[in-house]
Amino acid sequence: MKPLTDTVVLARRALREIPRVPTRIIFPLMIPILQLILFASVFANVALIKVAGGGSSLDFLAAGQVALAVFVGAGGSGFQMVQDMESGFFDKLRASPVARSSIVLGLLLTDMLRLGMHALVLLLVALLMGASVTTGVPGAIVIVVLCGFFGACWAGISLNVALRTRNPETTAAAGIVIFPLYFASNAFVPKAALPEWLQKLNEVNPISYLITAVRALMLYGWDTGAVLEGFAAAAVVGAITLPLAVSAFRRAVSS
Amino acid sequence: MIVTCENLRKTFPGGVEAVRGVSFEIAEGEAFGLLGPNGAGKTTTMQMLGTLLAPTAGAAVVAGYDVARDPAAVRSSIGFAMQEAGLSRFSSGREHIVMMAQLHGFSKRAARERAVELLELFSLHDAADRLVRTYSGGMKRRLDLACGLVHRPRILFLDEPTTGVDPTSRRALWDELVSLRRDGTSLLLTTHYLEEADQLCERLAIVDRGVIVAAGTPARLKEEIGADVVTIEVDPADTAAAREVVAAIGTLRPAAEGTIHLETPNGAAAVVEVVERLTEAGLRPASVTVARPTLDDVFFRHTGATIGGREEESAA
Repeated sequence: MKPLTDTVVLARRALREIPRVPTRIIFPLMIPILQLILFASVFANVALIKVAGGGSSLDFLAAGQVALAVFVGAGGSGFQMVQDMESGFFDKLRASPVARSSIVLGLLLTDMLRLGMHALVLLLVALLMGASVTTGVPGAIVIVVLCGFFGACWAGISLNVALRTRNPETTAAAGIVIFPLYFASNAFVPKAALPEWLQKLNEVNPISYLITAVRALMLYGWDTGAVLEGFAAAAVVGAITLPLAVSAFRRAVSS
Repeated sequence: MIVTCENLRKTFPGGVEAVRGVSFEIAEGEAFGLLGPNGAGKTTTMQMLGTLLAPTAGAAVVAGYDVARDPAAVRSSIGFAMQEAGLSRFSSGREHIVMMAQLHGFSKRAARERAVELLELFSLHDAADRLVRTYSGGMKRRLDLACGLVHRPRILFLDEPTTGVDPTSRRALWDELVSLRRDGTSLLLTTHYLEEADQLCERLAIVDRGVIVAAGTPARLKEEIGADVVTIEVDPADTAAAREVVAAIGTLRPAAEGTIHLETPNGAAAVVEVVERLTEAGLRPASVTVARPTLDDVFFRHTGATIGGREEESAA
């Protein structure tokens, strides 16, 4: 299957290049890691966390930071596309017999693996700091898979901006849009403790669904409902962003 | 014919008519050049033939496939080295070639073997595993060329292959292209360097403002001019006066202060007259030389401008 093998070839190229540009790994991971360290201390003696039903404030906060590492990373996803357009690499691919769909699929596959790794790194940092995952290794694997899937769907936003503007600055700036949604989420405070209007808002905030799922697996055990809702939220995001990205891409390749 | 195109046109959204009806043919194994200044429509023409741009009108068949109906087959048959070497800064030379080979359907092992061959052929074996961002301009060009040749295409498209390359690397690239030609690969290249067109192309089309203004072998094109060019160096302050004096001897062409270019059927005879008249007028020339027509003369004859002059015009 040509589209499949081409997708793998292109994803391998993108994955290979990631460690060669360390800033692309360091920046998206630095913020959540620092936040985890700082907020764990800030909230160490705050009783609020107990609302969540036991567990340390570190365990509680870690889920939000795992999710943040995924979202910040996904916000930088379109950058590779813009760079390939600027360098002429994209045109080189267009002039080759590569299966067109593989150019986008290769990027999404890369993001899935890359963002799953982001989640894994944050989990490991949290574990080193003394957090625990109640559901053990299987739970951690589900967290990584869910985060990778969610990240690839969220990356569709960045891809859209990249393909429609072809501008690296705009693409980078678009990655920041998650912060209001993130601060309004249940990353720092249990949903039940939020004011009512924010609770309502969080029913449609995809970020909260990812955090809830990760938090459930870390703190409370196998909450199938929460995990499925996490996957469903990702699928909804993907169902909106990815078709739009594909149509923007079609226009970009045919121009 | 490896390439046939008929009345190709490209009008960009916004109304810019980049190509306004271009037709030519390239025979199997031939090296064909599109010569013209920047903005003449050479690259746009090549991109239409290479399936990167859809023609607004007209038709083209490349390697037996219609570019509009069967673009995928065209892409499998051509090699394309673009103006911007389309390389990824954080991959190595070897990784680029292996990847391109795999996209052309090579197995991983066959792709690796092909990479070794091409790295050797383009003298990149020492730099094979270094990242492209450490490469010089000439090395990037060679790698780009190697990527374009991975699948042993019957025709190679080269868009300004030596723009921005230092003279030594340019020579080396030319040599490589000449040896490719010996293997029977056809070439379509665009250039604004007259020397390059003269050296590499068996046939040329001179392109100006979206149309072909002349076509033929470089020798034929030069013969058609039929005129020699007399170049006279005078004191820059006397340029205008001296031009007036010699204007009757031939056709004046634009030149810098202190230089006069005079087109005339018999250069040798004209030299005597030029020296006599200028001396009579008290404007002793510093030097007078005669040259056979060059492609620049051909371009001037057909467009009324020099290539450099046209480029300044379009930059302004």
